Amino acid sequence: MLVRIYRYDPEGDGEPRYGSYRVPFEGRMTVLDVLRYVYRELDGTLAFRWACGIGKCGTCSVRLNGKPVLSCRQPIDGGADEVLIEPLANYPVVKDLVVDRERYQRGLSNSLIHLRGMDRVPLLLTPRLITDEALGECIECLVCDSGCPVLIERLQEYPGPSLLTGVAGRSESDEAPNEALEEARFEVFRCLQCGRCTAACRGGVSTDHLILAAREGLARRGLLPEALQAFGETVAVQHNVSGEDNSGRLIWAQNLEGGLAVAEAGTPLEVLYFVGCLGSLFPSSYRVPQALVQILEAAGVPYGLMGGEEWCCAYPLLLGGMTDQARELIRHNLNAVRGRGAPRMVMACPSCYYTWKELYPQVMGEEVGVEILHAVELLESLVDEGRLPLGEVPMRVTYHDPCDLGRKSGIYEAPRQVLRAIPGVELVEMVDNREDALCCGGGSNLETYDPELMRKVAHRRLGQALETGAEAIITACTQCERTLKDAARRERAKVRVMDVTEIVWRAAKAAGQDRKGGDGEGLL
Amino acid sequence: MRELQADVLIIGSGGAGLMAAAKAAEKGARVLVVDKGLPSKSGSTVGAAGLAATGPWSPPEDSADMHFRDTVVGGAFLNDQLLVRIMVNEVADRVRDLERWGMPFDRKEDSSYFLDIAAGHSNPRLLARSDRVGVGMAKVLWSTALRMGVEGRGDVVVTRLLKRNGRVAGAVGLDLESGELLTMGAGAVILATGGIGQLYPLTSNSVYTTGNGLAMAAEAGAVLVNMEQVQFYPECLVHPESIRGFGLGIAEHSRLFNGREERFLAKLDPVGLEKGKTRDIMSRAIYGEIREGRGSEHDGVYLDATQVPREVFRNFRHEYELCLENGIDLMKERAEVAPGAHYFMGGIRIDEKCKSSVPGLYAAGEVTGGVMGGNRLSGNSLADILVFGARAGVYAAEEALERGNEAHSDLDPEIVREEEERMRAFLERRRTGPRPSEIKDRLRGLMWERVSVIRSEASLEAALGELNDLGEQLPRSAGMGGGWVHNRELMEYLEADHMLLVAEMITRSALMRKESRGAHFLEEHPERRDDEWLVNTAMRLGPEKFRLSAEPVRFTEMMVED
Repeated sequence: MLVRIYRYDPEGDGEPRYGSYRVPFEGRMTVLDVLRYVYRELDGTLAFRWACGIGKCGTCSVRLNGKPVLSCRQPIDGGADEVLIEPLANYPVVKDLVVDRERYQRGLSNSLIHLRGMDRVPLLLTPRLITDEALGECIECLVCDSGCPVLIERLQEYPGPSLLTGVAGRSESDEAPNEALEEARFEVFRCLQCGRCTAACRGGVSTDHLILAAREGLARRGLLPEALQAFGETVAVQHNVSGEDNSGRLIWAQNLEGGLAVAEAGTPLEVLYFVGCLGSLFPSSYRVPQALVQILEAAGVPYGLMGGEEWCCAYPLLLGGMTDQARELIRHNLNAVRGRGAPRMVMACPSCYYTWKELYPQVMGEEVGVEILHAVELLESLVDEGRLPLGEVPMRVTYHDPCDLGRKSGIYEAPRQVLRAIPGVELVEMVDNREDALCCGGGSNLETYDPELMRKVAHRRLGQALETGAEAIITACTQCERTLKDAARRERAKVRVMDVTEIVWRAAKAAGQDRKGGDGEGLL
Repeated sequence: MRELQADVLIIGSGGAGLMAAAKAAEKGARVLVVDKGLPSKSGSTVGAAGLAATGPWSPPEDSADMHFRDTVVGGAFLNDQLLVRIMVNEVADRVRDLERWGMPFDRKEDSSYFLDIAAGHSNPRLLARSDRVGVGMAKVLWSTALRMGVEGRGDVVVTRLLKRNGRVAGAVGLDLESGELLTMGAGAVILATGGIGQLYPLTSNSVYTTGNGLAMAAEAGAVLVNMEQVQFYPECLVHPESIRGFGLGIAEHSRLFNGREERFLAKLDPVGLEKGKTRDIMSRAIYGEIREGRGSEHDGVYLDATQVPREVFRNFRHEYELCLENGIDLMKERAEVAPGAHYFMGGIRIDEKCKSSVPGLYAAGEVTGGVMGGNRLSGNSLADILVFGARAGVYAAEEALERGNEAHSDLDPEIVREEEERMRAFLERRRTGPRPSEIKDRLRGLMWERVSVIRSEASLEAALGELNDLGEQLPRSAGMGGGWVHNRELMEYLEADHMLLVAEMITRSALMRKESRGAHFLEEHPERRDDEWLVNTAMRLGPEKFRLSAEPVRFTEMMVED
């Protein structure tokens, strides 16, 4: 096996390079085994760290093929011809694979983190999120920091997931005022909740949940940043994120050819479509619900809509730590949905989906009692069952995994299956895909709190998409679509951004499925 | 060359060093902690699974007195009883310190402490956090020390202690990060460098456990005691290679079979079998099977945990997962294990203030000798590092603050120059001799063959000859051309030098003790001989090199016949 290793010698000419080494692959080897072999047998000048070799000291982390890993616990894929080993990202390189962890140590020593090691978070409003399991055991390997899309943009200011986990570690009942949390509060809200840190963690630490808990602690102390406080109040009072009258949730349907084919009252519904705030109230996102209802109609699926009875799913409130207010919205939604008697709900917004499916039961302590599907799951089954013939759409596309659908909900293949089912579509992958996908920047209220930071993250993701040479970025999230579209527009990038529902509807039309006779082009 | 100054210099940043740092800082001392690897990460503390302590959490039948008795009986009466008494009496207070600083121990549903049981302890006594208590402790101690203003520096390979007027007043070493020589002056120096696992080919210890503190203390003239007492953890994985040496805690609940499918412990104890045997006894039994050709496929014996109830596995979560990733499902299949170097009972002789026999030099934790006698019970190491780490920190700070700051640029300039020359010469040599890693390998091989679980006078004599040969090769050894910064081969060269000295001290002490006691088993004298050998072997380096003598053990409370 050919192993390429990042080499940098501060005593040399100052230029990093890659060394290539032939390593005989024996049965099972970890990344650390490979490094030890290279050092012992091939090149004694290789600098790398390790101490315990059994996953407890957290000093041997590197990146394997771009992905941060704990080298002693990371097996090498024996089938690969070539692997690439590089130092952790977001920390300065001292030599070869050795990075300078001073930033982290400084964070530990300042007051920000004097609750580090206090690995318990009782008495929070979201106790079900913060179980012993969620706390895991941080071994300070910094793998989480290496993959964080916010840290890379804010190396000087942002504590990174490694240090932020400690921020959550104080209970409400502690007598000392939580100065650390107050100090950290402005950065705590910059976390995108993309879950990359949690996915990479070998210690089982649910960093994203810990950060939610920290936010909740801040909200309860009245320490929310102003913009988020105002935003939260809007959502709590208006029941949507736009602040408009909630009764206008079906405006997007007004120009629909032939109007809505919502099932009549009394007709048994196959599915209830929970549109979500963006699709309902943001004109630039109307295309998503428009495409989805036309698909449902074309496939002959009796569906229902809730109009003004649909309230925000409350995710923005949970992300802002405003759990009490979130509960009111959730209670309303649960009652409204159960009253409709549909066995299933469908959502095109992964955030609504994740919130309904994962957070509602945890926050409310009760089951929703209705099957919850994301649009891509429904589309996949419609295509599979032959209910939705698809015509040709010749296009080279790449697929952007939304964090709430991918890492948070484990749905990676359904959207890809749907795209592959469209004749003419060529699907190419970005360098970071599936569980490694980079966030678009649109997560966790960042658009409200720090739009500049959101744009930086979006720029990075757009860059990965452009590298593939795709004509279109397909995603399955209204917010990702908005964010990436905005990034593409700012950079005048020659790439289209669309939701998977939009390209599927286009394919359905190409197969002659727009039975209402309208050309539909005005809609798409 | 760079110079640093502190009131208290602590070498080593495992649990003992960090506890010392926190306590010294609490006393108002300026504290500098240095470590060869990353601070808090490089010692044995992170690997530890249980903390033996009696306190309000103990069952009514347990007490500090019982803990004392178990420790001394387990230690084959070689323990310094004054130190044992201090350990068992003070450990509860140190547990409270840890909790105050944020350490969570496992509790049961009724919020009482979960207490694990272990061989040699007469009662359930081990506080735990699943099987990762050491990870939590290291983290809590390190962040606490930092918060108290302790300066911590990793990547510093300390090679020699420096003296002024006969007192230890600093140290010299290589800063791997900058590639510079570093001299550190201090009012008092604490050695907390841990053990010697890397002297053996199979070990549960981290890669950094090369006995540097023992070598430096000896070179500074300190007395070291019971250097023959090397504890082997009986059940360390011999296969697969990736996690070779990993000590299985589930062994406490498992059955052992040799290559012929025999429960070989039956030969020793047909009724009790593996139950309740201390590590020295288990190690000899396993080593014997392997040596007699009744081992498993990869030269171990089979450990069978398939009968262990699932709820017990919950306390070994990390262990179970790590093995599973490496292809062994402990719930379903057997593992191959052999005794691996685990803990060093010998070391620097200290008094109750953790002072060594050399003024200005303190020591705490595994680098010291006496507390554990001839065999350490599980969980006692964490008790030891907390209690004596704290004491070393307090008393070293008091002494340093009393003496006040002194300039240190004149500290042993001869030695500093020697050290720099030695390193420079190594870097300039090109493939004239073996690489340092090869010397280490040979040293490990001979220590396993001749100075491990079962020894003989002939094997020990042979070992001395081979060590001498290696000692002659080391000055010719060379690396593959790295520079001063993060040069692992240079670090290994400096380590090998210390390892050779420590190996020789172990071997010579083993030759001196003409009996079998604790972890020391001499084939010619397989019996414990209390009439003659209820003494410490004491080693000191002098002009005539090694000076060995028998020193009385402090029996302040309990005699053998009690």
